Amino acid sequence: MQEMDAMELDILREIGTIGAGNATTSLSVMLNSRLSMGVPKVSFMNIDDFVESIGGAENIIAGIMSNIVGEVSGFVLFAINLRTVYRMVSFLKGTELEQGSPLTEYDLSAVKEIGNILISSYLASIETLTGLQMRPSVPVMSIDMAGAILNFPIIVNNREHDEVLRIESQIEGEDVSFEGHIVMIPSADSYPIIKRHLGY
Amino acid sequence: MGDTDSIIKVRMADFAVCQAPDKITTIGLGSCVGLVIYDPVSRVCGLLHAMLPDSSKIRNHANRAKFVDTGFDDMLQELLRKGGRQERLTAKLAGGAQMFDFSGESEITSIGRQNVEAVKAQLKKHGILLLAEDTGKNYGRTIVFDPQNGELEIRAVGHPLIKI
Repeated sequence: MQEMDAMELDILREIGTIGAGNATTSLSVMLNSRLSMGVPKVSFMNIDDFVESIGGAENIIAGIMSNIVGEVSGFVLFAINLRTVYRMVSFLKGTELEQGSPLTEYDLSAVKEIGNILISSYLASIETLTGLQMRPSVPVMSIDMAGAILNFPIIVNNREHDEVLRIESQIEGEDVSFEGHIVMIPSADSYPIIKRHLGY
Repeated sequence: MGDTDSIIKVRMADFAVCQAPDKITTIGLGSCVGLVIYDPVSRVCGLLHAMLPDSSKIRNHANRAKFVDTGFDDMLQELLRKGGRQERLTAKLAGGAQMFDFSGESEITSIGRQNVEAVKAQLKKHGILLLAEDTGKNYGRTIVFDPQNGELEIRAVGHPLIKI
């Protein structure tokens, strides 16, 4: 992947912001709570550095991932640390859930749905901006070591350079705050297509 | 681990060779495989953390340790250079999981299994005995090998620690 210039980063930041706006609206409806999202931090980074930035390869995270289908291919992954998972579930249930206590099927599917909303909103913004059709598949989730989860999308895409687009976002409500990362991993073939449709 | 011994850390798509009393580790194996090849007499061992089964299927294969086939060859050469003897070598294997349950198996989702099969084919080709394995399933693994006693320790989230 080539070096990003300032204008490209601006575009990506714009995509991130629009995606965040869409996601916040959808989430507010789902959670029945007024939420806002800070300006997301967007960057390209090496997968190893990304893993470090979310606590290292052995840190336990929840990874919610969708395949991108349409005119471009790749993966979108929503990654949150375990502390945030418990905070989300507590918020949804309205009772404080202690970290380490067992999570039910229902809890997990609620977290997955939040990830699904964020992923879909984010992709919808890129779709609008590029005019390229891209839809997420039904997401799958795994709670495990960050290294083990993140290797997968990299491997599958046969990436020649192991860089990913990271969007760090912070969701704030009146009495709740979540932070998570959305990572887009376009396939090697799709990256130039996305770039071209952004006007390069 | 004694104070003077160290643990050598192998990154994704890399390998290293060490000798007792040093130990060797790799973190967060998902569909990747962690292959240990070990000479119990000289106590020299190598650990490969490979991501893909076959370099010949990929256009860009500059990083040889990323693939089972080329990574295996390179590690074997270095093991032999550092005191390992071909006829004494044995192996242990971990990883090759399927982390995400996408519906239906495709070439993509079965990459873990393919990695495991590729390792076994290489071992067979070189006449190296696979002593033990903990592979497949749907969770990540962190492994530590101690060439002093030949034990491979495997840690996984939500599963008891095992030694093979």
